[in-house]
Amino acid sequence: MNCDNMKQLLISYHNNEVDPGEPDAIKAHLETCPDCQLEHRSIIDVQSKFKQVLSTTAELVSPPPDAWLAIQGRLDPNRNRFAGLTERIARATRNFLDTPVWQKRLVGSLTALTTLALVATVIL
Amino acid sequence: MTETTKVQDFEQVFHQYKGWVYKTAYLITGDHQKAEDVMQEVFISAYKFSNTYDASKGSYTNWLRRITVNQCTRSSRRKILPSSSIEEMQDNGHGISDNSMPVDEQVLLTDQISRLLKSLDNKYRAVLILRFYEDLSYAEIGDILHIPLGTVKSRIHMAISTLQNGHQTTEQKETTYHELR
Repeated sequence: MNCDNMKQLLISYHNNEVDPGEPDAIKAHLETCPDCQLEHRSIIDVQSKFKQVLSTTAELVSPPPDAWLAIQGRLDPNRNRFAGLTERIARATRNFLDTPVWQKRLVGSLTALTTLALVATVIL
Repeated sequence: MTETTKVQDFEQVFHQYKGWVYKTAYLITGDHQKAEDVMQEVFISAYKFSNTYDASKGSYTNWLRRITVNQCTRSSRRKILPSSSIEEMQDNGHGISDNSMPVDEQVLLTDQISRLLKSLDNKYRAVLILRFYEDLSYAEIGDILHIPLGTVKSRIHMAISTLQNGHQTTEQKETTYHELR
């Protein structure tokens, strides 16, 4: 076993995804090769940090409490057809209020220009 | 059974799976609005096409995972990637979870890895999330994404190498910076 094909094997080895018989050969190579030992430690380190970041990020996010209402509104024809729409408008309004002032001004200016253009087209 | 009763029964399914569908969608798309839209489409599809689920071909969870990843791929045509750092989440009222790592280090690490993730295509991100967040085996990932085992291996290899190189480069830059000071 040489160092060139060790890298892909080391990633699979660390994830317990190598073919039966390979772990012994990889282990034997690792014991005698300082470069591959370094590479192995680097893989362990980056995977462990990556897992930690994913897990921390996932813990910090959760679905909005009113998510079911929007789905229910779309699934059940006997319910108010606009239930989902109402939620979406409410959410879009909240998002708009959270956006920076310059973005609001830009949206406002564009809306005003579009309205003016439409009025001008109708009049002319 | 009326449509209303069926929808009421489905609400239990929604509450059982909503957490991880949303979290997985957020990790892949990196955007709250998109994660919410994906979650909605996943459950609408799961309800409408529930008759196509075949228990002999795999678990209901894996069926939902497949729908989630497919919806993420559709929604990620316009690329929006993780922008929320832990600090931003705190500002938005989210609490920091119980974690042994100091907050400063977590913020640095999250930002660093988020930046590295930006360089990855959505198909690599999905494989990484299924492996390192969902803890699925390569075979399960291949089954969910309908790709061969070799493709799963090569995508994980490529993604880890990218993270590894970027991480090392950043660490090397920081070491050099501190040495020069």
